[in-house]
Amino acid sequence: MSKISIPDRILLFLTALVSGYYVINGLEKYQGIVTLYFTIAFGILIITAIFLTIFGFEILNEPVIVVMATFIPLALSLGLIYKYLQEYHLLYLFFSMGGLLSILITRYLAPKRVATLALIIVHGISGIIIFLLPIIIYTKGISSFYFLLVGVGGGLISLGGILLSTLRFTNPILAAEKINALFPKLLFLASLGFVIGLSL
Amino acid sequence: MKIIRKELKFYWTMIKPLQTGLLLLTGITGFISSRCSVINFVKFSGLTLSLFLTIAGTTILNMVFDRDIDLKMLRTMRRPIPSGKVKVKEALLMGTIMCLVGLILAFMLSLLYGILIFAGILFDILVYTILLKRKTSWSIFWGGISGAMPILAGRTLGTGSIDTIGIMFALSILLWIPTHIMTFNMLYFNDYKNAGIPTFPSKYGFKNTRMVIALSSIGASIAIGIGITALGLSWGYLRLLAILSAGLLGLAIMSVLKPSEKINFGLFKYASLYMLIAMLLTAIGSVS
Repeated sequence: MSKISIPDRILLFLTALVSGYYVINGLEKYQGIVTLYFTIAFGILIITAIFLTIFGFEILNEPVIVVMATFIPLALSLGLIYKYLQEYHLLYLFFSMGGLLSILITRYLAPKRVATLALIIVHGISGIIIFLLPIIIYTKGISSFYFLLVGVGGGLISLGGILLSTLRFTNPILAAEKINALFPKLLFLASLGFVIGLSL
Repeated sequence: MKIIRKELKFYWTMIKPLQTGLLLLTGITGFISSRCSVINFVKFSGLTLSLFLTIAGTTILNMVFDRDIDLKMLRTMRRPIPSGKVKVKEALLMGTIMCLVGLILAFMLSLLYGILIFAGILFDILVYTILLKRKTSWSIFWGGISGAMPILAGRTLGTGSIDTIGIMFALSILLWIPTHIMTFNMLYFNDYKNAGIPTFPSKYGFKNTRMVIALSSIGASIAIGIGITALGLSWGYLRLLAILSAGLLGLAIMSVLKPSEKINFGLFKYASLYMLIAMLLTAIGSVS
């Protein structure tokens, strides 16, 4: 695994800073449960950025980190669902819990391919929700144009998650070095998209 | 000019700028947290200068008294005093003058503030370094008390008395210090052993030491959480602190369940960062 470069460290620091700012100043306007979901999502973004800075990319091989990272798209999509499609919240909550459990179980008990597949499905579905929901909400005129940036952030974070999970395949989509080089940029742009999109 | 610059460079390393900087920040944070109604330039400068002089001076004096130990340890043998770059008498004089000037300034600001700063120096040099460091692994507790003094003193200067919030902040520093020192004890285990310094890992083993580090990290985050809550900071600050505390807790658990040098050192780095951010949050949250 390659070492994290200084520019990437700066990006990770900015990721934590932007997310931290939103946790302090941006969550008061939501209902309790949405605040909780967004706190989890942004909180794990912050911790992931700090852990990456301290431990380097090797930390991404830790099963516990893989499970933890799944919380980012899941918690964010849960918050969006609760806010805009409340009637589907319970159903999606069950899916999220099942998805998390399946990732947890397959990571420790199933073959690599099955574990990766579970990860891709959960990341994929939550990512699609974060990507599509803002577009639908915007076209209905419920939110501002900037809300589309949440979708962009969702797309980026899911891309990061899926790229990382393919590292366990014999032939990953991209070489590990390339994925590692891309990851801090994706993380920063995603956090920026979420914060701007949810704030404006 | 070149000689002066060289000397300054030696003294800069001798005051351990990162450690001194962090302790200075805790003191300033303690003061800001008091939301003192009479914050003026003179008072703030006096606080900063007195804290800097006493913390840096104490660190230099520690290096004077520990020079024989430093010479036996690979990690410290190149420090200015053991390597002969700075004379013992000169460092002793410099450390003493810095502490004295800092103390006079502290007493000029407030009697109670001065007493607390004096207690910090006394606990660090006399109790920790001279009396206990070579005799018991529990000496770090007393070293921890001196490390907790700047934040308590800073807050006391602002409020005019010692209060529960100040004690909670001081407790958080006291509990944070084992994470710092014991990680070094494990990383440089042989160094400490060769120098004959009793440490927690040498007395109670690595497993128990990791457990103590984990528990003290959790204790530190609880203490600072109580302090910040009692201070009445907005929910946003508490949320961020809770997130960072969860990260600390996770790492502490990992260091016990899946111990490795990397995790230990990672916990040490995270704990330092945690304390730095907690201080900044407290300071910013107090004035915003």
